[in-house]
Amino acid sequence: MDRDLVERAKQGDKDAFTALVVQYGDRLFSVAYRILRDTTRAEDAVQQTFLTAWRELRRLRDDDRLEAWLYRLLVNACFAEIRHTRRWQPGLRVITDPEIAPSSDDTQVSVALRDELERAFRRLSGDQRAVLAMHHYLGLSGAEIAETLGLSRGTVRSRLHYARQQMRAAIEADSRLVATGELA
Amino acid sequence: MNQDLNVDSILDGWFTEGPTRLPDRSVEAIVGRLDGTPQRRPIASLGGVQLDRYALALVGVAAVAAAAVLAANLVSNRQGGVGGPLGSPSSSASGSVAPSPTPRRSLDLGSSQPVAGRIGCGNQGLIPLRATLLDCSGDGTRVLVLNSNLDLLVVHADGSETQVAQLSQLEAYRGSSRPVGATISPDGTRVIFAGLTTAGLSCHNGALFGVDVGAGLPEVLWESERDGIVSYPTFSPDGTRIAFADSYCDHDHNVWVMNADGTDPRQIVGPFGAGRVHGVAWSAAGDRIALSYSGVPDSLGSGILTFAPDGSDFRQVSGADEFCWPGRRC
Repeated sequence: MDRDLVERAKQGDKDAFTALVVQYGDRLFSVAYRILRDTTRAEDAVQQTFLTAWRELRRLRDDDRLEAWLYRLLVNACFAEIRHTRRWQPGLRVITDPEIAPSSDDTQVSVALRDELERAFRRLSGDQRAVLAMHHYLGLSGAEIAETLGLSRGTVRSRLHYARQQMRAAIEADSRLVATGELA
Repeated sequence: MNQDLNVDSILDGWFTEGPTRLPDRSVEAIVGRLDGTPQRRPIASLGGVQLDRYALALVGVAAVAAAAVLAANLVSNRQGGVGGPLGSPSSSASGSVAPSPTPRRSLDLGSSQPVAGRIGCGNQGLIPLRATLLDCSGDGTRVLVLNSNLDLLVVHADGSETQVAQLSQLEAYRGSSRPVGATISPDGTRVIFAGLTTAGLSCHNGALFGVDVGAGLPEVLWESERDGIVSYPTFSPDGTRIAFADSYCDHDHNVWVMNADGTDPRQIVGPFGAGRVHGVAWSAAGDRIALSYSGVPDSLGSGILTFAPDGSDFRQVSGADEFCWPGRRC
Protein backbone atom coordinates (compact mmCIF):
# COMPACT_ATOMS: atom_id res chain seq x y z
CA MET A 1 0.00 0.00 0.00
CA ASP A 2 1.38 3.36 -1.04
CA ARG A 3 0.79 5.88 1.72
CA ASP A 4 1.61 8.68 -0.64
CA LEU A 5 -1.26 7.61 -2.89
CA VAL A 6 -3.67 7.63 0.04
CA GLU A 7 -2.50 11.04 1.20
CA ARG A 8 -2.80 12.49 -2.27
CA ALA A 9 -6.25 10.94 -2.70
CA LYS A 10 -7.26 12.49 0.60
CA GLN A 11 -6.34 15.86 -0.84
CA GLY A 12 -8.67 15.25 -3.78
CA ASP A 13 -6.15 13.86 -6.28
CA LYS A 14 -8.31 11.75 -8.61
CA ASP A 15 -5.35 10.12 -10.31
CA ALA A 16 -4.09 8.87 -6.98
CA PHE A 17 -7.51 7.55 -6.09
CA THR A 18 -7.80 5.88 -9.48
CA ALA A 19 -4.53 4.09 -8.76
CA LEU A 20 -6.05 2.82 -5.52
CA VAL A 21 -9.14 1.64 -7.42
CA VAL A 22 -6.92 -0.33 -9.77
CA GLN A 23 -4.84 -1.66 -6.87
CA TYR A 24 -7.74 -2.89 -4.74
CA GLY A 25 -10.54 -3.28 -7.28
CA ASP A 26 -9.97 -6.91 -8.18
CA ARG A 27 -9.72 -8.05 -4.58
CA LEU A 28 -12.86 -6.20 -3.54
CA PHE A 29 -14.76 -7.46 -6.55
CA SER A 30 -13.72 -11.04 -5.84
CA VAL A 31 -15.00 -10.81 -2.29
CA ALA A 32 -18.19 -9.03 -3.34
CA TYR A 33 -18.95 -11.76 -5.84
CA ARG A 34 -18.39 -14.42 -3.18
CA ILE A 35 -20.90 -12.68 -0.92
CA LEU A 36 -23.50 -11.74 -3.55
CA ARG A 37 -23.05 -14.59 -6.08
CA ASP A 38 -23.92 -12.19 -8.88
CA THR A 39 -21.41 -10.32 -11.04
CA THR A 40 -23.58 -7.29 -11.77
CA ARG A 41 -24.44 -6.71 -8.15
CA ALA A 42 -20.84 -7.32 -7.16
CA GLU A 43 -19.79 -4.60 -9.59
CA ASP A 44 -22.41 -2.28 -8.14
CA ALA A 45 -21.21 -3.01 -4.61
CA VAL A 46 -17.62 -2.29 -5.56
CA GLN A 47 -18.62 0.95 -7.25
CA GLN A 48 -20.56 2.02 -4.21
CA THR A 49 -17.63 1.06 -1.99
CA PHE A 50 -15.16 3.20 -3.88
CA LEU A 51 -17.53 6.15 -4.15
CA THR A 52 -18.15 6.00 -0.41
CA ALA A 53 -14.41 5.65 0.15
CA TRP A 54 -13.73 8.69 -2.01
CA ARG A 55 -16.35 10.72 -0.16
CA GLU A 56 -15.23 9.65 3.28
CA LEU A 57 -11.50 9.19 2.71
CA ARG A 58 -10.48 12.21 4.73
CA ARG A 59 -11.99 10.57 7.77
CA LEU A 60 -9.61 7.63 7.54
CA ARG A 61 -7.20 8.32 10.36
CA ASP A 62 -4.72 5.48 9.88
CA ASP A 63 -3.64 5.10 6.27
CA ASP A 64 -2.30 1.63 7.03
CA ARG A 65 -5.86 0.53 7.72
CA LEU A 66 -7.06 1.41 4.22
CA GLU A 67 -7.58 -2.16 3.04
CA ALA A 68 -9.49 -3.21 6.16
CA TRP A 69 -11.56 -0.06 5.91
CA LEU A 70 -12.37 -0.80 2.28
CA TYR A 71 -13.48 -4.33 3.22
CA ARG A 72 -15.77 -2.91 5.85
CA LEU A 73 -17.29 -0.49 3.34
CA LEU A 74 -17.60 -3.34 0.85
CA VAL A 75 -19.45 -5.59 3.26
CA ASN A 76 -21.88 -2.76 4.03
CA ALA A 77 -22.36 -2.18 0.30
CA CYS A 78 -23.05 -5.90 -0.13
CA PHE A 79 -25.64 -5.77 2.65
CA ALA A 80 -27.31 -2.90 0.82
CA GLU A 81 -27.29 -4.92 -2.41
CA ILE A 82 -28.84 -7.89 -0.63
CA ARG A 83 -31.56 -5.67 0.82
CA HIS A 84 -32.14 -4.13 -2.58
CA THR A 85 -32.38 -7.53 -4.23
CA ARG A 86 -34.85 -8.80 -1.69
CA ARG A 87 -36.92 -5.68 -2.02
CA TRP A 88 -37.21 -5.87 -5.75
CA GLN A 89 -37.30 -9.61 -6.18
CA PRO A 90 -39.91 -11.31 -4.04
CA GLY A 91 -38.58 -14.68 -5.10
CA LEU A 92 -34.85 -14.97 -5.36
CA ARG A 93 -33.80 -16.72 -8.49
CA VAL A 94 -30.52 -18.40 -8.95
CA ILE A 95 -28.59 -16.72 -11.70
CA THR A 96 -26.22 -18.92 -13.57
CA ASP A 97 -23.62 -17.21 -15.62
CA PRO A 98 -22.15 -19.51 -18.24
CA GLU A 99 -19.05 -17.35 -18.42
CA ILE A 100 -18.15 -18.01 -14.82
CA ALA A 101 -19.41 -21.54 -14.37
CA PRO A 102 -16.46 -23.90 -14.63
CA SER A 103 -16.59 -26.67 -17.17
CA SER A 104 -17.14 -30.22 -16.08
CA ASP A 105 -13.49 -31.00 -16.76
CA ASP A 106 -12.07 -28.68 -14.15
CA THR A 107 -14.89 -28.88 -11.66
CA GLN A 108 -13.69 -28.84 -8.10
CA VAL A 109 -17.17 -29.25 -6.72
CA SER A 110 -19.78 -31.40 -8.42
CA VAL A 111 -22.59 -29.67 -10.23
CA ALA A 112 -25.24 -31.06 -7.90
CA LEU A 113 -23.27 -30.12 -4.83
CA ARG A 114 -22.66 -26.67 -6.24
CA ASP A 115 -26.41 -26.20 -6.62
CA GLU A 116 -26.95 -27.29 -3.04
CA LEU A 117 -24.25 -24.91 -1.85
CA GLU A 118 -25.68 -22.04 -3.88
CA ARG A 119 -29.13 -22.56 -2.44
CA ALA A 120 -27.84 -22.89 1.09
CA PHE A 121 -25.62 -19.84 0.74
CA ARG A 122 -28.46 -17.70 -0.55
CA ARG A 123 -30.48 -18.61 2.51
CA LEU A 124 -27.78 -17.20 4.77
CA SER A 125 -28.04 -13.68 6.10
CA GLY A 126 -25.69 -11.06 4.72
CA ASP A 127 -23.76 -11.13 7.99
CA GLN A 128 -23.19 -14.85 7.70
CA ARG A 129 -22.27 -14.71 4.03
CA ALA A 130 -19.67 -12.04 4.70
CA VAL A 131 -17.85 -13.89 7.46
CA LEU A 132 -17.97 -17.15 5.54
CA ALA A 133 -16.49 -15.55 2.42
CA MET A 134 -13.82 -13.72 4.38
CA HIS A 135 -12.86 -16.90 6.19
CA HIS A 136 -12.86 -19.33 3.28
CA TYR A 137 -11.88 -17.03 0.42
CA LEU A 138 -9.59 -14.49 2.04
CA GLY A 139 -8.36 -17.01 4.58
CA LEU A 140 -8.85 -14.63 7.47
CA SER A 141 -9.12 -15.98 10.99
CA GLY A 142 -12.09 -15.18 13.19
CA ALA A 143 -10.01 -12.60 15.05
CA GLU A 144 -8.92 -10.94 11.82
CA ILE A 145 -12.50 -10.82 10.54
CA ALA A 146 -13.61 -9.32 13.83
CA GLU A 147 -10.97 -6.64 13.62
CA THR A 148 -11.72 -5.88 9.98
CA LEU A 149 -15.46 -5.61 10.40
CA GLY A 150 -15.39 -4.02 13.84
CA LEU A 151 -17.21 -6.91 15.47
CA SER A 152 -16.54 -8.88 18.62
CA ARG A 153 -14.76 -12.19 18.20
CA GLY A 154 -17.74 -13.94 19.76
CA THR A 155 -20.07 -12.48 17.17
CA VAL A 156 -17.85 -13.61 14.33
CA ARG A 157 -17.44 -17.05 15.88
CA SER A 158 -21.20 -17.39 16.23
CA ARG A 159 -21.90 -16.27 12.65
CA LEU A 160 -19.28 -18.61 11.30
CA HIS A 161 -20.67 -21.47 13.32
CA TYR A 162 -24.23 -21.07 12.10
CA ALA A 163 -23.18 -20.39 8.53
CA ARG A 164 -20.99 -23.49 8.44
CA GLN A 165 -23.77 -25.50 10.03
CA GLN A 166 -26.12 -24.62 7.18
CA MET A 167 -23.51 -25.22 4.54
CA ARG A 168 -22.66 -28.55 6.11
CA ALA A 169 -26.34 -29.50 5.97
CA ALA A 170 -26.31 -28.77 2.26
CA ILE A 171 -23.23 -30.91 1.76
CA GLU A 172 -24.79 -33.75 3.73
CA ALA A 173 -28.01 -33.46 1.73
CA ASP A 174 -25.99 -33.82 -1.43
CA SER A 175 -24.21 -36.85 0.01
CA ARG A 176 -27.55 -38.50 0.80
CA LEU A 177 -28.75 -37.94 -2.76
CA VAL A 178 -25.60 -39.52 -4.10
CA ALA A 179 -25.91 -42.43 -1.67
CA THR A 180 -29.51 -43.13 -2.65
CA GLY A 181 -28.64 -42.97 -6.31
CA GLU A 182 -30.93 -40.08 -7.11
CA LEU A 183 -28.12 -38.34 -8.92
CA ALA A 184 -26.91 -41.43 -10.70
CA MET B 1 -13.54 -33.90 12.89
CA ASN B 2 -13.07 -35.47 9.48
CA GLN B 3 -16.49 -34.24 8.52
CA ASP B 4 -15.51 -30.70 9.56
CA LEU B 5 -12.30 -30.92 7.60
CA ASN B 6 -14.27 -32.11 4.61
CA VAL B 7 -16.72 -29.22 4.92
CA ASP B 8 -13.86 -26.76 5.13
CA SER B 9 -12.15 -28.27 2.15
CA ILE B 10 -15.34 -28.27 0.07
CA LEU B 11 -16.10 -24.68 1.01
CA ASP B 12 -12.53 -23.61 0.29
CA GLY B 13 -12.85 -25.14 -3.17
CA TRP B 14 -16.27 -23.68 -3.81
CA PHE B 15 -15.17 -20.19 -2.85
CA THR B 16 -12.23 -20.29 -5.24
CA GLU B 17 -14.65 -20.61 -8.16
CA GLY B 18 -15.87 -17.47 -9.83
CA PRO B 19 -14.54 -14.25 -11.31
CA THR B 20 -11.61 -12.43 -9.74
CA ARG B 21 -11.18 -9.39 -11.94
CA LEU B 22 -13.13 -6.17 -11.74
CA PRO B 23 -14.22 -5.34 -15.30
CA ASP B 24 -12.61 -2.26 -16.82
CA ARG B 25 -16.03 -0.74 -17.36
CA SER B 26 -16.51 -0.63 -13.60
CA VAL B 27 -13.21 1.12 -13.04
CA GLU B 28 -14.16 3.65 -15.71
CA ALA B 29 -17.59 4.11 -14.14
CA ILE B 30 -16.08 4.75 -10.71
CA VAL B 31 -13.59 7.26 -12.03
CA GLY B 32 -16.31 8.92 -14.09
CA ARG B 33 -18.46 9.43 -11.02
CA LEU B 34 -15.80 11.01 -8.81
CA ASP B 35 -16.50 14.46 -10.16
CA GLY B 36 -20.07 14.23 -8.96
CA THR B 37 -19.07 12.91 -5.55
CA PRO B 38 -17.62 15.64 -3.36
CA GLN B 39 -15.28 14.62 -0.60
CA ARG B 40 -16.53 15.24 2.90
CA ARG B 41 -14.54 16.93 5.58
CA PRO B 42 -14.02 15.00 8.77
CA ILE B 43 -16.96 15.49 11.09
CA ALA B 44 -14.75 17.02 13.76
CA SER B 45 -13.72 19.88 11.52
CA LEU B 46 -17.36 20.80 11.11
CA GLY B 47 -17.67 21.16 14.83
CA GLY B 48 -20.15 18.31 15.06
CA VAL B 49 -20.23 15.02 16.84
CA GLN B 50 -21.07 11.59 15.54
CA LEU B 51 -24.72 11.96 16.42
CA ASP B 52 -24.96 14.87 14.03
CA ARG B 53 -24.26 12.71 11.02
CA TYR B 54 -27.80 11.49 10.80
CA ALA B 55 -29.31 14.97 10.77
CA LEU B 56 -26.72 16.08 8.27
CA ALA B 57 -27.62 13.17 6.05
CA LEU B 58 -31.29 14.09 6.12
CA VAL B 59 -30.56 17.71 5.39
CA GLY B 60 -28.54 16.34 2.52
CA VAL B 61 -31.56 14.35 1.35
CA ALA B 62 -33.64 17.49 1.35
CA ALA B 63 -31.04 19.53 -0.48
CA VAL B 64 -30.36 16.86 -3.04
CA ALA B 65 -34.05 16.19 -3.62
CA ALA B 66 -34.68 19.91 -4.04
CA ALA B 67 -31.87 20.05 -6.56
CA ALA B 68 -33.34 17.04 -8.30
CA VAL B 69 -36.78 18.65 -8.53
CA LEU B 70 -35.20 21.81 -9.83
CA ALA B 71 -33.23 19.87 -12.38
CA ALA B 72 -36.33 17.92 -13.39
CA ASN B 73 -38.19 21.16 -13.93
CA LEU B 74 -35.36 22.41 -16.08
CA VAL B 75 -35.62 19.27 -18.16
CA SER B 76 -39.36 19.70 -18.37
CA ASN B 77 -38.96 23.26 -19.54
CA ARG B 78 -36.49 22.19 -22.16
CA GLN B 79 -38.92 19.57 -23.40
CA GLY B 80 -41.57 22.14 -24.08
CA GLY B 81 -43.37 23.97 -21.36
CA VAL B 82 -43.79 24.09 -17.64
CA GLY B 83 -45.64 21.10 -16.29
CA GLY B 84 -45.28 19.12 -19.47
CA PRO B 85 -45.24 15.38 -18.93
CA LEU B 86 -41.92 13.75 -18.31
CA GLY B 87 -41.57 10.39 -19.90
CA SER B 88 -44.90 10.82 -21.64
CA PRO B 89 -46.07 8.12 -24.01
CA SER B 90 -44.81 10.05 -26.98
CA SER B 91 -41.37 10.50 -25.54
CA SER B 92 -41.02 6.93 -24.37
CA ALA B 93 -42.25 5.67 -27.69
CA SER B 94 -39.49 7.58 -29.40
CA GLY B 95 -37.05 5.25 -27.74
CA SER B 96 -34.70 8.01 -26.67
CA VAL B 97 -32.32 6.24 -24.35
CA ALA B 98 -29.66 8.20 -22.54
CA PRO B 99 -26.36 6.50 -21.83
CA SER B 100 -26.18 5.50 -18.21
CA PRO B 101 -23.22 6.89 -16.26
CA THR B 102 -22.74 3.46 -14.73
CA PRO B 103 -22.78 0.00 -16.24
CA ARG B 104 -25.89 -0.78 -14.19
CA ARG B 105 -28.63 -1.80 -16.56
CA SER B 106 -30.84 1.16 -15.85
CA LEU B 107 -32.88 2.70 -18.60
CA ASP B 108 -33.84 6.32 -18.72
CA LEU B 109 -37.14 6.31 -20.51
CA GLY B 110 -37.39 9.28 -22.74
CA SER B 111 -35.11 11.89 -21.27
CA SER B 112 -31.59 12.90 -22.04
CA GLN B 113 -31.11 13.95 -18.43
CA PRO B 114 -31.26 11.13 -15.86
CA VAL B 115 -31.21 13.84 -13.23
CA ALA B 116 -32.86 12.54 -10.14
CA GLY B 117 -32.40 8.85 -10.42
CA ARG B 118 -29.04 8.37 -8.82
CA ILE B 119 -29.14 10.95 -6.11
CA GLY B 120 -31.38 11.79 -3.20
CA CYS B 121 -33.41 8.94 -1.88
CA GLY B 122 -31.64 6.38 -3.99
CA ASN B 123 -28.28 7.14 -2.44
CA GLN B 124 -27.44 4.15 -0.28
CA GLY B 125 -24.95 6.28 1.62
CA LEU B 126 -27.76 8.25 3.20
CA ILE B 127 -29.56 5.26 4.65
CA PRO B 128 -29.32 5.10 8.43
CA LEU B 129 -27.10 2.36 9.76
CA ARG B 130 -28.74 -1.08 9.72
CA ALA B 131 -31.95 0.25 8.22
CA THR B 132 -33.46 -0.22 4.80
CA LEU B 133 -34.61 2.84 2.94
CA LEU B 134 -38.06 2.19 1.48
CA ASP B 135 -39.20 5.56 0.19
CA CYS B 136 -38.88 9.29 0.68
CA SER B 137 -41.42 12.07 0.57
CA GLY B 138 -41.60 14.18 -2.54
CA ASP B 139 -39.92 17.15 -0.89
CA GLY B 140 -37.18 14.91 0.50
CA THR B 141 -37.72 16.04 4.10
CA ARG B 142 -38.90 12.65 5.37
CA VAL B 143 -37.68 9.17 4.69
CA LEU B 144 -39.45 5.89 5.31
CA VAL B 145 -37.20 3.15 6.62
CA LEU B 146 -37.42 -0.35 8.02
CA ASN B 147 -34.98 -0.90 10.84
CA SER B 148 -33.42 -4.16 11.92
CA ASN B 149 -36.23 -4.74 14.44
CA LEU B 150 -38.72 -4.55 11.58
CA ASP B 151 -40.09 -1.27 12.85
CA LEU B 152 -41.45 0.89 10.06
CA LEU B 153 -40.28 4.41 10.82
CA VAL B 154 -40.58 7.85 9.30
CA VAL B 155 -37.41 9.84 9.92
CA HIS B 156 -37.81 13.60 9.74
CA ALA B 157 -35.28 16.16 8.58
CA ASP B 158 -34.49 17.13 12.17
CA GLY B 159 -33.53 13.53 12.94
CA SER B 160 -36.63 12.71 14.96
CA GLU B 161 -38.46 9.47 14.24
CA THR B 162 -42.11 8.49 14.15
CA GLN B 163 -42.94 4.82 14.42
CA VAL B 164 -45.57 3.84 11.88
CA ALA B 165 -45.93 0.12 12.49
CA GLN B 166 -44.18 -2.84 14.04
CA LEU B 167 -43.94 -5.36 11.28
CA SER B 168 -42.26 -7.79 13.66
CA GLN B 169 -45.75 -8.51 14.90
CA LEU B 170 -46.46 -10.14 11.59
CA GLU B 171 -45.28 -13.62 12.38
CA ALA B 172 -45.32 -14.76 8.80
CA TYR B 173 -43.22 -11.85 7.63
CA ARG B 174 -40.11 -13.90 7.04
CA GLY B 175 -39.22 -16.10 4.17
CA SER B 176 -40.91 -16.34 0.85
CA SER B 177 -44.24 -15.23 2.29
CA ARG B 178 -42.79 -11.87 3.20
CA PRO B 179 -44.85 -8.94 1.94
CA VAL B 180 -42.72 -6.35 0.29
CA GLY B 181 -42.75 -2.63 0.37
CA ALA B 182 -44.10 0.54 1.80
CA THR B 183 -44.55 4.03 0.42
CA ILE B 184 -44.86 7.50 1.88
CA SER B 185 -47.10 10.15 0.36
CA PRO B 186 -45.42 13.00 -1.48
CA ASP B 187 -46.26 15.42 1.34
CA GLY B 188 -44.91 12.96 3.91
CA THR B 189 -48.08 12.74 5.98
CA ARG B 190 -49.31 9.25 5.13
CA VAL B 191 -47.77 5.82 4.78
CA ILE B 192 -49.17 2.80 3.00
CA PHE B 193 -47.48 -0.52 3.53
CA ALA B 194 -47.96 -4.13 2.52
CA GLY B 195 -48.69 -6.62 5.26
CA LEU B 196 -50.87 -9.53 6.29
CA THR B 197 -54.25 -9.67 7.92
CA THR B 198 -53.60 -13.13 9.32
CA ALA B 199 -50.22 -14.45 10.32
CA GLY B 200 -48.90 -17.94 9.91
CA LEU B 201 -50.74 -19.01 6.78
CA SER B 202 -48.95 -20.36 3.78
CA CYS B 203 -50.95 -18.27 1.33
CA HIS B 204 -50.87 -15.36 2.73
CA ASN B 205 -53.81 -13.02 3.41
CA GLY B 206 -51.93 -10.07 2.04
CA ALA B 207 -53.29 -6.59 2.47
CA LEU B 208 -52.44 -2.95 2.17
CA PHE B 209 -52.53 -0.83 5.30
CA GLY B 210 -52.69 2.94 5.53
CA VAL B 211 -51.74 5.13 8.46
CA ASP B 212 -51.37 8.85 8.99
CA VAL B 213 -47.87 9.56 10.22
CA GLY B 214 -47.95 10.18 13.94
CA ALA B 215 -51.66 9.54 14.32
CA GLY B 216 -53.53 6.37 15.08
CA LEU B 217 -53.25 2.75 14.12
CA PRO B 218 -52.91 1.36 10.61
CA GLU B 219 -56.18 0.57 8.88
CA VAL B 220 -56.76 -2.04 6.20
CA LEU B 221 -57.15 -0.31 2.85
CA TRP B 222 -57.33 -3.30 0.58
CA GLU B 223 -57.25 -7.08 1.00
CA SER B 224 -56.11 -9.60 -1.55
CA GLU B 225 -59.10 -11.56 -2.77
CA ARG B 226 -56.87 -14.53 -3.51
CA ASP B 227 -54.97 -14.57 -0.21
CA GLY B 228 -51.91 -13.46 -2.10
CA ILE B 229 -48.75 -11.59 -1.28
CA VAL B 230 -49.11 -7.86 -1.71
CA SER B 231 -46.04 -5.92 -2.73
CA TYR B 232 -44.58 -2.70 -4.09
CA PRO B 233 -47.23 -0.17 -3.03
CA THR B 234 -46.19 3.07 -4.68
CA PHE B 235 -47.78 6.50 -4.38
CA SER B 236 -48.42 8.44 -7.56
CA PRO B 237 -46.47 11.71 -7.67
CA ASP B 238 -49.57 13.73 -6.76
CA GLY B 239 -50.43 11.39 -3.89
CA THR B 240 -53.92 10.56 -5.10
CA ARG B 241 -53.37 6.98 -6.25
CA ILE B 242 -51.49 3.84 -5.37
CA ALA B 243 -50.08 1.23 -7.70
CA PHE B 244 -49.15 -2.17 -6.25
CA ALA B 245 -48.78 -5.83 -7.06
CA ASP B 246 -50.76 -8.79 -5.80
CA SER B 247 -50.14 -12.48 -6.30
CA TYR B 248 -51.37 -15.94 -5.52
CA CYS B 249 -48.84 -17.78 -3.39
CA ASP B 250 -46.04 -15.70 -4.86
CA HIS B 251 -46.89 -16.49 -8.46
CA ASP B 252 -49.48 -15.35 -10.94
CA HIS B 253 -48.89 -11.69 -10.11
CA ASN B 254 -51.25 -8.85 -10.93
CA VAL B 255 -50.88 -5.11 -10.86
CA TRP B 256 -53.55 -2.90 -9.33
CA VAL B 257 -54.17 0.83 -9.29
CA MET B 258 -56.55 2.39 -6.79
CA ASN B 259 -57.24 5.68 -5.10
CA ALA B 260 -55.02 6.40 -2.12
CA ASP B 261 -58.01 6.14 0.23
CA GLY B 262 -58.60 2.55 -0.87
CA THR B 263 -61.50 3.19 -3.19
CA ASP B 264 -61.90 2.18 -6.82
CA PRO B 265 -59.31 -0.61 -7.05
CA ARG B 266 -58.70 -1.67 -10.63
CA GLN B 267 -56.82 -4.72 -11.73
CA ILE B 268 -54.48 -4.07 -14.59
CA VAL B 269 -54.54 -6.90 -17.07
CA GLY B 270 -51.38 -6.86 -19.05
CA PRO B 271 -49.51 -9.08 -21.46
CA PHE B 272 -47.06 -10.28 -18.85
CA GLY B 273 -48.79 -13.60 -18.27
CA ALA B 274 -49.05 -15.37 -14.96
CA GLY B 275 -45.53 -14.45 -13.98
CA ARG B 276 -43.88 -12.29 -11.40
CA VAL B 277 -43.86 -8.55 -11.00
CA HIS B 278 -40.60 -7.24 -9.61
CA GLY B 279 -41.48 -3.61 -9.13
CA VAL B 280 -43.69 -0.74 -10.27
CA ALA B 281 -42.80 2.92 -10.73
CA TRP B 282 -44.77 6.01 -11.67
CA SER B 283 -43.50 8.51 -14.16
CA ALA B 284 -42.88 12.00 -12.78
CA ALA B 285 -46.06 13.30 -14.40
CA GLY B 286 -48.11 10.37 -13.11
CA ASP B 287 -49.36 9.53 -16.58
CA ARG B 288 -47.45 6.27 -17.03
CA ILE B 289 -46.50 3.35 -14.85
CA ALA B 290 -43.59 1.03 -15.53
CA LEU B 291 -43.43 -2.52 -14.28
CA SER B 292 -40.65 -5.05 -14.25
CA TYR B 293 -41.80 -8.61 -14.84
CA SER B 294 -40.69 -12.10 -15.58
CA GLY B 295 -43.22 -14.18 -17.42
CA VAL B 296 -44.73 -17.59 -17.04
CA PRO B 297 -44.33 -19.51 -19.25
CA ASP B 298 -40.69 -18.69 -19.78
CA SER B 299 -41.38 -18.03 -23.44
CA LEU B 300 -42.79 -14.69 -22.38
CA GLY B 301 -39.35 -13.78 -21.12
CA SER B 302 -38.80 -10.87 -18.80
CA GLY B 303 -38.55 -7.16 -19.22
CA ILE B 304 -40.12 -3.79 -18.67
CA LEU B 305 -43.60 -2.71 -19.66
CA THR B 306 -45.11 0.72 -19.37
CA PHE B 307 -48.81 1.48 -19.39
CA ALA B 308 -51.31 4.19 -18.61
CA PRO B 309 -52.78 4.10 -15.08
CA ASP B 310 -56.15 3.01 -16.49
CA GLY B 311 -54.52 -0.16 -17.80
CA SER B 312 -54.37 0.83 -21.44
CA ASP B 313 -51.58 1.45 -23.91
CA PHE B 314 -49.08 -1.22 -22.89
CA ARG B 315 -45.65 -0.76 -24.36
CA GLN B 316 -42.75 -3.13 -24.15
CA VAL B 317 -39.38 -1.61 -23.34
CA SER B 318 -36.72 -3.78 -24.81
CA GLY B 319 -33.15 -4.15 -23.76
CA ALA B 320 -33.50 -3.38 -20.07
CA ASP B 321 -34.27 -5.23 -16.88
CA GLU B 322 -34.37 -2.15 -14.67
CA PHE B 323 -36.08 1.12 -15.20
CA CYS B 324 -35.64 4.71 -14.21
CA TRP B 325 -38.18 7.37 -15.04
CA PRO B 326 -36.70 10.78 -15.69
CA GLY B 327 -37.32 13.09 -12.77
CA ARG B 328 -37.90 10.17 -10.40
CA ARG B 329 -35.59 8.49 -7.95
CA CYS B 330 -34.23 5.04 -8.81
